[in-house]
Amino acid sequence: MMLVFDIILMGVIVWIALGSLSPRGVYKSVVMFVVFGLFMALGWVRLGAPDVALAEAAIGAGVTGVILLDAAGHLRQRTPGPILERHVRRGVAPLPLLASVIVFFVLALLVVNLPAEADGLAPLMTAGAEDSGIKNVVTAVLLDFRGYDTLLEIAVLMLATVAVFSLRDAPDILGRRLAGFAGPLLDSFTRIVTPFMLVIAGHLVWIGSSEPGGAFQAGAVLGAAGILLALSGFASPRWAGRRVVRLSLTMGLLVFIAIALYPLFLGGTLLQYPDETRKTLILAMETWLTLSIGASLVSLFIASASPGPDGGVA
Amino acid sequence: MNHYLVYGLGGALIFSIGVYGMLARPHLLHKVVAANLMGSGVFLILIGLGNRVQGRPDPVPQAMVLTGIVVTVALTALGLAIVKRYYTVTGLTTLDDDPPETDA
Amino acid sequence: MSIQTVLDTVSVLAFIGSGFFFVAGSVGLVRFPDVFTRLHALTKADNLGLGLLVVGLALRSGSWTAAAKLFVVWLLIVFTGATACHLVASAARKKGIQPWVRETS
Repeated sequence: MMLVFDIILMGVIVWIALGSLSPRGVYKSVVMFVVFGLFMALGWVRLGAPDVALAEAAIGAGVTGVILLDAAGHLRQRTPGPILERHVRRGVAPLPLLASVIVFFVLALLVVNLPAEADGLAPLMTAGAEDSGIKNVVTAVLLDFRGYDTLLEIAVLMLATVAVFSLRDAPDILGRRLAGFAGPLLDSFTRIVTPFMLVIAGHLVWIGSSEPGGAFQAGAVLGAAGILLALSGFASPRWAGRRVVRLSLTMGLLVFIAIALYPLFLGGTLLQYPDETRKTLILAMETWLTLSIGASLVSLFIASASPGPDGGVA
Repeated sequence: MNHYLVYGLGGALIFSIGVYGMLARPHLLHKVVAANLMGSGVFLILIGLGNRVQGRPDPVPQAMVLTGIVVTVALTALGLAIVKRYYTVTGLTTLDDDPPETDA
Repeated sequence: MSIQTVLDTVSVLAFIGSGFFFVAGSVGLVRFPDVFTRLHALTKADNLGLGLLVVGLALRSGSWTAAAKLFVVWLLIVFTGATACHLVASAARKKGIQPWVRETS
């Protein structure tokens, strides 16, 4: 019964994916891509991955959608008419189609030929998580067993933020209002919803050790709050100067590195947390990670968002 | 057909759609979207395969995909920053440097 | 009839009603002639659809805190939807889109 649902869901996802590449204009592509992200979140729930569903909805559909929409608005002035028409008139391009069909068959063979029942690392992880006192196994895997991956991931995020900063070619949009949207409704909405979002972010970090949640989802909510503030035209507060921004971006990585190196002084190896302080260390790390991820997502948006022709955000 | 096969094959399909989009669509924004599609396809395959376990699904692919989603947003932001800079410098939204064909 | 069966039946009825409203909102999105009518269909139908969904889920959740959390989710969505609707509508007005008027022939 649920198999029928899965097949229908997958069919819809594939259909939307095709639509997001449609040659009929970039706005349609971006909107379809956001819808694609939301349907993927549904798919993650069906696959028993609620943490991933939260992250996909917040980051994959939300933040990515905002950044894509801003880029689409910025690029809309000149879509190259003749070049697009040349490609559309020829219909489906044959060589890329061949490449993608080959890729599909290779991947499909891989998927089908793997054994249908495999334990993977699940029993190991579940047993280990019970020892570490963190009931949410995914959080335990992320921050404890495969903490090295997460460390490098935060570094990648920070590097991308620095690179986006370096590519900035327009003055900051902080404080600029959306064109024509300087209305009381948006202001009140932001003022009421932002504290909610902060509380929800804190709740997600805290509850991430036993229920679906965690640092990334909470960081995404923080990032969304920051983007909302920026889009509503709230000028950044006076205490949020350059140094504070840089600190908040880097503190997550620095705290992570510090906690990773700390066991070296106790005679262990990298990231080998001592048993008594494990849960506190992980929680401390998660809190700083949340702050950094939120700051990174906001900076990624603000640094790449461009003012529109009328002075507001495009 | 097993529950996980639907998502595994669907992931393969979405990845190949992304490959096609990356190669065939000239507009740079479509290429960025196609890169995202490829990422999502891989995630579907990973977590789909992780669902072959009896009982609760394998948490390791889920952690990897969580990492992947964050890296993908970083990739998208940087890619779009590059696209916008390219547009500011050249005024083009594609990589084609042939002059546009005239209707002959 | 135990209280559990009553709760289950009411929640299933709520789900069916919610599905109907969501479908109605989506049909409105596709079939209505202009931005303003589509916004109307979307926000009204989806808020009610989500409200019924929340009612159904709350009846099944078995605890007051879970039901309260679901209710807060619904409130947030209603609030967000109303603001977004207003923003889209005022942007459409600023762009000069006129509301659709039925042609009288």
